[in-house]
Amino acid sequence: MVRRRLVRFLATRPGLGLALSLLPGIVCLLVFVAGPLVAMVVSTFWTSSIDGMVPAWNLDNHRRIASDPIFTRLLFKSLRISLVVTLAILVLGYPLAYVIARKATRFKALLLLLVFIPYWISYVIRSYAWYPILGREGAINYALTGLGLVDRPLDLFLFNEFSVHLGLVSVFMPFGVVPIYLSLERIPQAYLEAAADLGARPLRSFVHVLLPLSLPGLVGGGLMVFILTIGAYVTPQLLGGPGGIMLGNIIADQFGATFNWTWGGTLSLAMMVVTLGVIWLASRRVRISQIFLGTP
Amino acid sequence: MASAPTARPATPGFDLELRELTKRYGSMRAVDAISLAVERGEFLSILGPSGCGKTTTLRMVAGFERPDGGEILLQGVRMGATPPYERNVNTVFQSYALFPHMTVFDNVAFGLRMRRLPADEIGRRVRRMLEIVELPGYERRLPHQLSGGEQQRIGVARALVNEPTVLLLDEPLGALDLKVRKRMQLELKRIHREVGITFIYVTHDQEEALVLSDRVAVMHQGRIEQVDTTFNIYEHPRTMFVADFIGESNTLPGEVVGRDGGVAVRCAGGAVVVRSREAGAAAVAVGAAVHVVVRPEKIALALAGAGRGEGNQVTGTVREVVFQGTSVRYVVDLGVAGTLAVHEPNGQRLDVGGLLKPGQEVEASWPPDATLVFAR
Repeated sequence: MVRRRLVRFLATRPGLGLALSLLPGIVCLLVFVAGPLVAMVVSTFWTSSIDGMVPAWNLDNHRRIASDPIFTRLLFKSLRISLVVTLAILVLGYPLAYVIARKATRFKALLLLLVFIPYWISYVIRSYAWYPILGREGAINYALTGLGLVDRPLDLFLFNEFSVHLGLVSVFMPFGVVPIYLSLERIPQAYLEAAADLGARPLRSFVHVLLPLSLPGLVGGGLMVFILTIGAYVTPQLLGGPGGIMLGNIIADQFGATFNWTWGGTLSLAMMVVTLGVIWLASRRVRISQIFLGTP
Repeated sequence: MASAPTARPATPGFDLELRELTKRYGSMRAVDAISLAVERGEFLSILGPSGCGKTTTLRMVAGFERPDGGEILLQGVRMGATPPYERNVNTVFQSYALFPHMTVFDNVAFGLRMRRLPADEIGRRVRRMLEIVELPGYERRLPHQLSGGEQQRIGVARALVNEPTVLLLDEPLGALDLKVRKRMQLELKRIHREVGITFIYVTHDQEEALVLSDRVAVMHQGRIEQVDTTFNIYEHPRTMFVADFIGESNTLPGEVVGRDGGVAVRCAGGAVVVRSREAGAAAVAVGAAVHVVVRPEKIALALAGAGRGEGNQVTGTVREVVFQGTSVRYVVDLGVAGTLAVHEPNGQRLDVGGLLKPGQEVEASWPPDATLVFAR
């Protein structure tokens, strides 16, 4: 009886029913996304002390980040590294995604699996895996000395910016490949046949039809990789040495080593602002709904 | 009416020729050594049920599929392995396949841009083409803002603007609803008349093929059963398949019992002998098991005993009367011989209240010229 009246009550108020059915999702978003974000922003106005975070409202953290150029430089260094890594992944990943999506017929599933198999291994281990390749006693130096090209192992492969780039590209490659693959997969063959039919040679058909139609995947994959790399700290920690340090390392240190959480929050906020700026720039080229929903 | 954009030389000849064209998928012959010659400016339909090889044939002409044997000649030039982008044919796709990221103008201009024509000429030709398909002013719209019928007009414009030797249309109206389809059929016919380009039209809709075409090639299991004018395809089908596939037909099994300028066939368990003077019937031998085929509109009905007595005659009982406005459809039960469907224009028997009634005994008669006979 009560249940029937409740059902009738909701039936006369469709908006309320919708709100109720969305409630669990909204609560989840508030608790796990909006809440921490607000907490982070609020923490930047607090002070860290040996007693933990103290709500002593001030702008010390903001002044510090604005006055000391080292943090801005590090932020832009991270931005540069992540943009270069993103570009490298898109340039290397596009042909790979293209082959899997449009050329491979029988081995499509196998090839996709091969892209993913490394992801069954922790990315810490995948980063370490570069040691026996790039290290002083690694494969490259072994080959170079073995061939007599150098008389002493070289140190220039590991613990610098180059190895950070290499590590990040290898670690985040699938996050770029998969969105591109999905967008290429979705393009009907008829568009390419139409282009050829209208006189477009393969290269022009690619430039005028396939590339623009796969742009959502390209931008989506690029954003994915960019967001992951700009905040990366494990790979630069393991492969970077002193020259390969990124802002993510400093932020991680504020939470792990020095326990200056309010300062860590401030640096995170700065990184988030830059990240949002890049997303905004990308969304001016391709609408976000197009990237994630595939709508025209 | 706009004049044709192509100033085509009036030399006679074939725009398209297929010689023994073959395509295999595994052991299946999708297209089985078909030959066909299409004259300049002709509207030819390739008609057949799904899986008959008609689309494969079209795709080979376009260059999307490589033939396993035979030749394709465009204005006498062998196509061989020429890629699609070097063939002077253009295709209208069933799915329209308009580039979704380009405006109507950019879609229609695509082919001309690929040929690097000057911008002012491209603009002129695109606008002219949009007038021909009666969508002027649509230049800046995007494909998804158009209705299905409008999209297909743009599809036609995008192909025709290149002034191809042959325009290939792959079931272009298949995705449209009936009303739009009917209107687009007339549109296509008008456009064909205006531009004077050869149209090859693939469809499984026999009515559409009859409405649109000068000639129809009926395909079945990878082979062309008959290429003929629409009139002959309907009136003088050469095979049982064509007779059955095009239009409605009555089929009575029987046996040839004599030849006298035509053939005589005994049907209905020996009860009736019908004669055929149709040209195609001459080929069957006495004693052969055959099908007798009669179109429903060729049969006249009279009350039994009225004695019209011309041509072939059978008696039966009216089973069903379906009044369809301009026509009346009867089903006449012939007993062991089966049933006959009869189409009669309305107004035939106003003296008896306009319609026959179920249960009435009737004599069905039809001329020997309209009696088709096919070996079983």
